[in-house]
Amino acid sequence: MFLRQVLLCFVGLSAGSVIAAGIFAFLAIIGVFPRLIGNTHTTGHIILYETLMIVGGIWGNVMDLYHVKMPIGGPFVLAVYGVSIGVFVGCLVMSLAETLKALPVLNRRIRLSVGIQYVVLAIAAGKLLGALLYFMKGFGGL
Amino acid sequence: MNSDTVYLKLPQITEVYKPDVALSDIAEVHCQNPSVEAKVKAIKVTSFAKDTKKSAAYVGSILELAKKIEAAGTNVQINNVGETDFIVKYRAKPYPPVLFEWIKTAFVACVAFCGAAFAIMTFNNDANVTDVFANLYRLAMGVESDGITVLEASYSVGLALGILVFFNHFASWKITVDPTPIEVEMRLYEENLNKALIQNHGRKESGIDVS
Repeated sequence: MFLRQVLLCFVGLSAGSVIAAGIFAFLAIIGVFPRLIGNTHTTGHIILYETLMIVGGIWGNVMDLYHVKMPIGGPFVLAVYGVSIGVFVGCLVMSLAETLKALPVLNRRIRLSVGIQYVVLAIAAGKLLGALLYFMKGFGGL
Repeated sequence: MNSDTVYLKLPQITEVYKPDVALSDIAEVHCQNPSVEAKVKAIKVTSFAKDTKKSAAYVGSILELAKKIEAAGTNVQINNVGETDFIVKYRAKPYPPVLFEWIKTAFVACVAFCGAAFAIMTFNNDANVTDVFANLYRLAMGVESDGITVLEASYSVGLALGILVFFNHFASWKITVDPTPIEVEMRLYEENLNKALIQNHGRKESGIDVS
């Protein structure tokens, strides 16, 4: 029984390390944070951001697996959390589309030459509408 | 008449805070003859509009510099060991108000923390880690998992270890001297921006977007 526990422990450790490397390599390479840091001109605080990503990753995982309660709660904290996640996912989705070169390919296929800024605006508006519909019409099954 | 060789090393981008830009502000200049070096260093590269709050960028090339050095009447050979195209960015003030800086930092810090937490939670949900662990536990131990086992604990520890190794530091404590992943990505992003800026400036024709 003890040996089996050791085996499970080993499996868990390996799984955690590999998944952490995968997820965080994805976060680093997808370009959300370089863009945010670049646009806010706060390159000097990179170490702080990375530390917070480390703490956030560990905390999120523990909260998810063990259903640990947040030490501080309330609507305000929830609002901060919501806005932060919204910004993050918004950037993430766009970065993903950009990394996969979706817009350049589309532009080339239909030879779009003017008004790219409106295309970007339309994407943002579409995302907003999509998110609102999803939550208000209960697409999530709730 | 023997000509002196002037060595120029241009970085891709330089940030300046005064409107008049001399060559010594943006490039490393070396020449064996000190008087020639001083003369070349003082050559004006460009000037930005004074009394402007807006930041501006100037894109130039080594050819323009060569013309300016020639026009200054020095008989020199130019040896460029840096970039051939360069950007000079002008900002009126080196640092904006401190409070606003901290608000921005707090904002990005919030996004970093919540984003990382969110990413790992969505992954755990997507991949149904809880169920996979329950199955694994049953396979290994022959009994049903109660949800809190050595697997979850070691997974959490492994995750923390993996993140630390990946980011190569925790707060000010570094594992090796390598730059951190975000620092590397930041430099790559900056380089791409500079390249795009230079190429946008360089192309006069608008017809060829992809040829």
